[in-house]
Amino acid sequence: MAGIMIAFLIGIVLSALGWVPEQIHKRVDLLLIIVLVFLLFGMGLNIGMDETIVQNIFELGKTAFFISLASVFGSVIFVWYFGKMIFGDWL
Amino acid sequence: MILLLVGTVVLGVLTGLFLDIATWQVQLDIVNEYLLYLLVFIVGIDLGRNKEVWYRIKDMGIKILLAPFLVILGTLFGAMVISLFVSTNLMETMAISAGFGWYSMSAVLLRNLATTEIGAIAFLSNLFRELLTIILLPFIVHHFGKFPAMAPGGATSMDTTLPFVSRYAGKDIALIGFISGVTLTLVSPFLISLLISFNI
Repeated sequence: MAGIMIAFLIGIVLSALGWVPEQIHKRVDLLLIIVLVFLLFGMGLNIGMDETIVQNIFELGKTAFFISLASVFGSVIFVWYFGKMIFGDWL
Repeated sequence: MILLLVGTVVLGVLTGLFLDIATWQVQLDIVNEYLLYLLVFIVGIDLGRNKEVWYRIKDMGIKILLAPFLVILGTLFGAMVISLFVSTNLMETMAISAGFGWYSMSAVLLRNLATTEIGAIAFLSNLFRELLTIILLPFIVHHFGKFPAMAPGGATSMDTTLPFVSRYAGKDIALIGFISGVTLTLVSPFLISLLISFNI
């Protein structure tokens, strides 16, 4: 976990300091997609190999849906309610 | 983009279902870990070059960062409440919600830090957040006003849902959404790791 955070920070700092070659900057979107495709394919493989996940996919989907609905409305209601107090003067 | 990434997962699932690759599990896990380092490194590079965001925050005042802060608190609050009704526990639910719509990153990160099942739920949940945002934005603007339109998209307000925020709530709110999206993208990997580390 610490390794992941460090890799993230190194990327941000190197880029913000302008130490990343222009050629990498130009291809960063493509690189991102390539790495993601491999990682997501790997995750798919693990899901496919795991019988309990495959059998419960609709149950997991239901859980996922309720979490996303709660996240959407939680954030909207907080920004609506507290936003009026904090930003009321210039909204 | 969304079709490519979802299609990749589906292809992976089908491959895992029909081919016996369990003997490769150890090698797969090692490759997965190094790819994850590479992924966050590249995302970091991508974020670091977004310098104009910091100038915009300076223009609007540091106070504007309270908006993404409210999005974080609201999201986690929603996750806390819903965790009472779903199969995932409190910390898992909050960690999943801390993807803020960034389904690719939250899924591969949680797959690595928790279980494949939590990764799968994170993928679906954050994918749904992006889709729900697009579907619900007109309703949200109608009932809550324009300002909260910067909230539901979470991290996606800086790219995929940005045009929708702009269309329904205008350019000014879209700009706040953009700043919020960049902030959440920066915070999300840390928050996910932190929350799931409390999961015992």
